[in-house]
Amino acid sequence: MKEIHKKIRLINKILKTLIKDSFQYPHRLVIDTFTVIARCGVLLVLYWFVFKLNNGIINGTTFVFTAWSIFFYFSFSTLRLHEVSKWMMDDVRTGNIEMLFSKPISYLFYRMWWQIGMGLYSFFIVTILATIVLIFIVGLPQTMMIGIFIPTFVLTFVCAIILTLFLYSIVGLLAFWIEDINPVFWIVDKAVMILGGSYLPIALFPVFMYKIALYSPFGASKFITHTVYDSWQVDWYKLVGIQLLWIILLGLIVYFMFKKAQKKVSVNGG
Amino acid sequence: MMKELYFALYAIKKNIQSSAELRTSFLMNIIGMAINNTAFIFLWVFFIKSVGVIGGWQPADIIALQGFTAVCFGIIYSVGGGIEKLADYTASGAFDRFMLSPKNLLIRIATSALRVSAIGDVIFGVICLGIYAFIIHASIYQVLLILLAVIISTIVFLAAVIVIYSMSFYFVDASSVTYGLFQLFFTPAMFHGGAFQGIIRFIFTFFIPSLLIGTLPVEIVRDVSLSKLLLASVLAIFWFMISIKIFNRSVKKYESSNFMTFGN
Amino acid sequence: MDLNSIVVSNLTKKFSFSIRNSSLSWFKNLFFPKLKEIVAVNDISFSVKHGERIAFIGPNGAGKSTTIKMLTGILFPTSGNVNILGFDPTKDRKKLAYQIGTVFGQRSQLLPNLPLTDSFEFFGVMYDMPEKEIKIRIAELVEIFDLGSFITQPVRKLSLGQRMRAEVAVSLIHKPKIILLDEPTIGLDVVAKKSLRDLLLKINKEENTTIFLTSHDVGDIESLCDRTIIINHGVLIKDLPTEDLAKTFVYEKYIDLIAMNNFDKFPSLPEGISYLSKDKNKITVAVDVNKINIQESIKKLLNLFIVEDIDVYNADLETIIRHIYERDS
Repeated sequence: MKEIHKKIRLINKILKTLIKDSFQYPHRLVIDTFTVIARCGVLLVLYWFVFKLNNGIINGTTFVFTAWSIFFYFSFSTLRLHEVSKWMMDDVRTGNIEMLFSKPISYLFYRMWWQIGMGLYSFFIVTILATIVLIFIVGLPQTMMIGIFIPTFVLTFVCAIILTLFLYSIVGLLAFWIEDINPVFWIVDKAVMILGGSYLPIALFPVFMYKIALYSPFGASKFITHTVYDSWQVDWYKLVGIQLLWIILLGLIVYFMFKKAQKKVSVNGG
Repeated sequence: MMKELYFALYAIKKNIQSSAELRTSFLMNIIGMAINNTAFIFLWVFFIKSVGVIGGWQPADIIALQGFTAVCFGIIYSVGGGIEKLADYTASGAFDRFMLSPKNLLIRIATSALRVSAIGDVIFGVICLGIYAFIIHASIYQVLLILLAVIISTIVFLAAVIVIYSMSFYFVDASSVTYGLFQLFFTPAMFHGGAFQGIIRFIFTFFIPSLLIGTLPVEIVRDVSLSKLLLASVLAIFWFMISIKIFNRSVKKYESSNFMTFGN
Repeated sequence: MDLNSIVVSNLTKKFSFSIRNSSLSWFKNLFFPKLKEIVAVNDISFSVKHGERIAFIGPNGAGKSTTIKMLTGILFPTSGNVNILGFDPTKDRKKLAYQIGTVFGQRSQLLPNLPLTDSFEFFGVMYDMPEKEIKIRIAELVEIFDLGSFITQPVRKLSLGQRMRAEVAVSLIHKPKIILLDEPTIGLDVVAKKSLRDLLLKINKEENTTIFLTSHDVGDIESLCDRTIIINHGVLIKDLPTEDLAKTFVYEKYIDLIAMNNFDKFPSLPEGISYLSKDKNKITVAVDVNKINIQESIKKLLNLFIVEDIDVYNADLETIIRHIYERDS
């Protein structure tokens, strides 16, 4: 029990410290806002035109739903969880990993919570502001106003965070064996981008692509984009189930990879 | 001027040699980037399949769009990879070293680094444009237009990148600012061009030159439009001149204030 | 209670890595590489008592960092034993981590954008210290290390000297029994160096913290460490009190001769005297006082050379250490 209490205290400290740190760097907030406007904003305008040209309905869905779906994707991205791979690669390259290994904490635990902490401030502010703007401009779809939405959304959101961290940690841990993990990172990142429903919302996926998005960890890490649609009310437990399965599987992979990495460091240095 | 070019080429060659030392990493980066870029083609092709043809844009046009943007991006970041490092150089004080170099400042900075993955972008882009030319059974005239359009888009990209990274001289946390500005410029450039209509098209042609590096070149070649070619050329020259002016102004500001004096 | 804080017995570390053979094909190199083994640390043994101040030195590539990594449990030995504070670092790395502090001269552990207090608190929580204890400890450290004048500034705005003081202070937040320092004075000006050394001495006196230091700065060794261990090519070549080290070449004295006009001839010297450097303006000789005493050597040298000035001195610690490195390679 004391162990858990200690861990929670450390998590608290990491998050608080990093949020405080974020205050010192208002520029980061500006940048994240820029990014959301540049990508998500322009994308939404384009889709608005596109839907207009198609009399408001494409593939059985309307603009409102796709707008929120795309927005959820980009707002989640402001957490910048994928950067955990780059941090791990840097840690190995600079030898910083040795410094962290000499501390009484688990490296993975530290790195993951650090990553969450780094993005929290930007995430909250950008999301809250953008949500307000979006409500005014586009309006709220029915599906987001029913009771079951918020709890299931939160559930899938938390699972998405864990899954994303695990996925990108696997990429990051490769840095212990491969000199330059960037090519792997790009491929994983693109898979998530496509299957997560960013530039092309999942409602517009061809059937086979939707299936891949449904059953792959890449798609599962962004199931929050599925929450706006009607089908969510019926299927949500299925999707959350898929997320949990992938969390367990990827979690095991991360665990074993890390154990191997530790062994490698202890035998052959960084 | 010849001496400048000669040295620039020499610097680029050295960059390639030193990157190629790590052979596996070199190849992985190039191939990885090429694969990375095909993702965008898939995206927009599926988009067209779902949404239908907009603005007359066929899947082939998407290939050309990715081709043009990848080529200009790849050329500038492989040959002039140092420009994107300007934020790092000014923050760390390494910029001073460049100011003392006897060569033209901008060229020296540009050739100071090379992004290996950018070579992958160039290869990818060239292949895309080749495939496009094949699909549309391009006439000699159109092939010529492709070449001209590549030159124009590269000039515009260079100008935009110079302007964006010159902002490094004005901000302390410059790398975030430049990243955001680059997103603003480059992301719309990779979007399905046919969806840009009306006000949006106006903004992204004349105020933020995103459409000049991808969409406009595609339309120039596809429609064999000389009027668009003329427009693009004029804008390219205009942007280039402005970028040089802004760069020189920014360097002057750096010289006079040099506020980057954190205790080291 | 065991008097020893560190006991190292027959510690050996071998690395094997693949070397690229240019005569083999690319394919063979990737999948069937030729392996080379190097012995980075070869059968070293020493023990350190609580409260001792040890300088652990050697030329670059001697095996110092490798040894230190094995002490902290980051690296596992190929053979031999390490016992720190009763722990085996290969088994109890985390438990050990609570008892040791580390300072890396070239890598900062502080949070750059926030004031120093945040770094203190952060590490305090990391080491599971209760809130009250953290506050008290911070006040103690601020007092001892004189951090009060800049405690509220963001760390990146501090000068290097201030930052190093802060680094050492933060590494002591959890009152470790041992502190390992890797090049802590690198880049510091003379005043900052003295200040840091005095602080380390103070902490060692007041809290009986064992100090284990690697440094290329001879001043650090002389003023801070009462014992020096020298390692080269992975082998322990000297382990002795620092003041004895200074006396290692006590039989050797050096004489500088400054020419009145130019020195144009460099005749052979009597037994016991040898040239260290010759120049038309200045000659330096080494005198082995076991073979010829100073009175005799000066007489003989003044017979051979016309001098404007003459300087007679002992080897300093730096020269001694250099000789040790050179003679060992």
